[in-house]
Amino acid sequence: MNASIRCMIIEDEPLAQNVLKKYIDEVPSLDLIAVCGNALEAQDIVQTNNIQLLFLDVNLPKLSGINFLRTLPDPPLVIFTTAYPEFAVEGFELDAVDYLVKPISFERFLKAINKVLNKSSRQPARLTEDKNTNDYILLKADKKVYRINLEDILYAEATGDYVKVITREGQYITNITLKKLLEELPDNDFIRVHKSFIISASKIKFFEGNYVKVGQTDIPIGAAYREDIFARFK
Amino acid sequence: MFTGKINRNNRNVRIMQHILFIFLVFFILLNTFKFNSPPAPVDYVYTTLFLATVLPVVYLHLYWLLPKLRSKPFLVSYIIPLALITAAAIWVNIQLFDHWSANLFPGFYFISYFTWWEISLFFIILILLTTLLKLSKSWFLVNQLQRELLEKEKQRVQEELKALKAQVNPHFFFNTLNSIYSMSLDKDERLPATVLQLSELMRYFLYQSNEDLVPLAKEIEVLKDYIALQRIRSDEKLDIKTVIEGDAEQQKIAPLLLIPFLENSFKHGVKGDVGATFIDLKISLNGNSLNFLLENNKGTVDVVEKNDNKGLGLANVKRRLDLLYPARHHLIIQDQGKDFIVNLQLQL
Amino acid sequence: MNKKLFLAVSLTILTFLSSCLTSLNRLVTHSTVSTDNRIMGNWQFEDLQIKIESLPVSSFYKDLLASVKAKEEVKSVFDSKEDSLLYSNSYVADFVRNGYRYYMICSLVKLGNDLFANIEPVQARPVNKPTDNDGDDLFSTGTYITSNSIAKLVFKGNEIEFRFIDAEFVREQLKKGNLAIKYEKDDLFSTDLITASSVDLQHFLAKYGKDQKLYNKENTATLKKI
Repeated sequence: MNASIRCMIIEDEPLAQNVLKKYIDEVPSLDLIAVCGNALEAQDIVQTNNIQLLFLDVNLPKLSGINFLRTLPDPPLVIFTTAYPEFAVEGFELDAVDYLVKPISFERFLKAINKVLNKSSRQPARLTEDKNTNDYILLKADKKVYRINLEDILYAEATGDYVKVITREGQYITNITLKKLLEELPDNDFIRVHKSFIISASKIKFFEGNYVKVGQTDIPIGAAYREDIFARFK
Repeated sequence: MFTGKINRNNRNVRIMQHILFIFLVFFILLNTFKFNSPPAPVDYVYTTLFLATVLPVVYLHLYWLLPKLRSKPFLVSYIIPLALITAAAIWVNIQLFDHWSANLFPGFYFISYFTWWEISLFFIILILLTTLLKLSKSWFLVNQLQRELLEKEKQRVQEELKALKAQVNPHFFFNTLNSIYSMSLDKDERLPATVLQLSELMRYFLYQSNEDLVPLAKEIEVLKDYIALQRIRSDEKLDIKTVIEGDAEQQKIAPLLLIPFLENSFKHGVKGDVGATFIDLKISLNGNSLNFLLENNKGTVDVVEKNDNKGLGLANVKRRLDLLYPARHHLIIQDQGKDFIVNLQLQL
Repeated sequence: MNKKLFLAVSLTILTFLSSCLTSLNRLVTHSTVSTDNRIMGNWQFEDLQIKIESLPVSSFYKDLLASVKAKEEVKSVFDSKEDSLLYSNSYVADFVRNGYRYYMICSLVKLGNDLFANIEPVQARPVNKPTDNDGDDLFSTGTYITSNSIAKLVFKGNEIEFRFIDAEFVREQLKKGNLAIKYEKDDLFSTDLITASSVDLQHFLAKYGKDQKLYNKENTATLKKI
């Protein structure tokens, strides 16, 4: 389970590089291979170092990030990081995973990484062989970033300001909202059954009245969600 | 030259209006005075003579007396002259019709068919009518001017806003904020000073830029802040030299005149090259004569900003120089060779 | 306004006067009348003998007074106080022609430096039967309204010149549109009746009275004192 993602920063401002370096440091599955101050230097490095993820600035000297991306015959996954919001459309047209506007918060950064993980789990050829080991999600809980296998997640419960993510191994208390969490989890397996609950469909034991048994726990089904749930499982 | 033409056109229009009015009055009077229809030659003569006595009074009133309506001795400067000239004109009218016209127009036979009182009624009505017309014309004019003023004001504000928005380059701010954020992650000791510099700069952009003149010392300080903020964003390959000579204490300059040059240098010079970059700024002051010399490496920036200020920024400054320092400035921009040089001489 | 036929022929009794101006209104009013006794006396005009005397003492007036006294319902001789005032200061010309005795009232007014006369025919009765019968009066038949003639008076020694205003000239100026005055066209008699007010008439003559074009020899009657 050591499949880290080889990534690279192309950014000309040292302080901006600094921020990204710090974030990448916090995330265990990211492996920073190189940092470049301009796109020309980067060309070789991208090819020869098997870079899988690129943090790319747009406003670079001599060759813009957008145009640089166009020149790559077999581009890696790209997350744009820039102060210029106006290139978002072009960015997504080039299939960028995400477009982050400076200054970037860590939460937003994590969300982008989770998108990368999601994407890569659907393109097994892109990243390493073992499909299973890539099915994880990154969550920030008590000042640390945890890598949680999707397999292990039973359900998530919203309590007050926090969300508890219950896995086979334990529970994690994270700051994220239930809605945002749902966005980051693959929707083929994770459904929201109640205003305060998300469950992993593959962990359902059975239904009983207005409850569904997940693992050892009875999860209530909210009135608004009832119809969709029963439609899905009929 | 252009305004002269417009004034002439306006005057022609006014003359046409007057002629039209006189014709209208003539027509109406003719039909009032005539004895039978259609009007006979004698009726034309009659009406012409009548108008000849009324019109001078009407116009004297419009252009000489009416403006005096405001002045304090209302009675003396308005009422009495009006009464006098009206009485005189009526007298002339009666003399003309009862006596003189026999000699002036020997082929025609007519008398004044109106009494003193009736004639003065005509006078009063025409004076009132023309006064009303003039007042309403003035009223329309005032309204129109008000509307134009409002429109111009609106336009001016919008343009100022646009200019301001163009000046307050958002990318600069967000990039600087990102730098500050980066520093905060490391608890970089440059952080407090940088925050202050940014706030000074923002304050300057937002408020002082509305003034006509700012102290030169302030503008230079802002230049230095700007350079400092830009410096932290660039790498160690950037070489900046700043030299200020002379006494800037007593001088004043139009705000934000010099910053666009620096902005240009950083955007296209420093950010435009991957190798060694440099900025050489020298400001020398001699009495009220300012010499601004800025040199930087040439570069190319691939990305064209959507709201492109490249050409606009310098064009703006050139226009402002022409408006604010006509014949008191000399701007040379050298783009050939390996460096980019801007030299501005200014009589403050 | 009732359209009445006016007696255009009123003055064609003086047939030598081919065209004299007729006016609806008198030239002279009670407030503007003047007197000049030189007009009084016996005068010869062509084959006519004309007696001109002050109206209040004339035989015409005496007759009128007598006939009025006879009819009780008529209070006074004249219709109004104004008329009374006017006529007290007027003259009456009296002559016989073709068996008719004509009475014409002459009122004088001074305009500018000239003397003008307003001549108003009032009665023409057969000489032989001086009756009260108004029916015989040529001038009293209802359909006629009196019309006035206007002449400038010039005294020359033993003669008076009555210079009547030339209607032909007036008509011509009216047609050309050179004259501005109130008038009515009568198509039946193809003549023009001046309907201007007395005041206007006076103003006109005060202004144009000296214009020679207003008069001509054909319209001037010279009376010689007998």
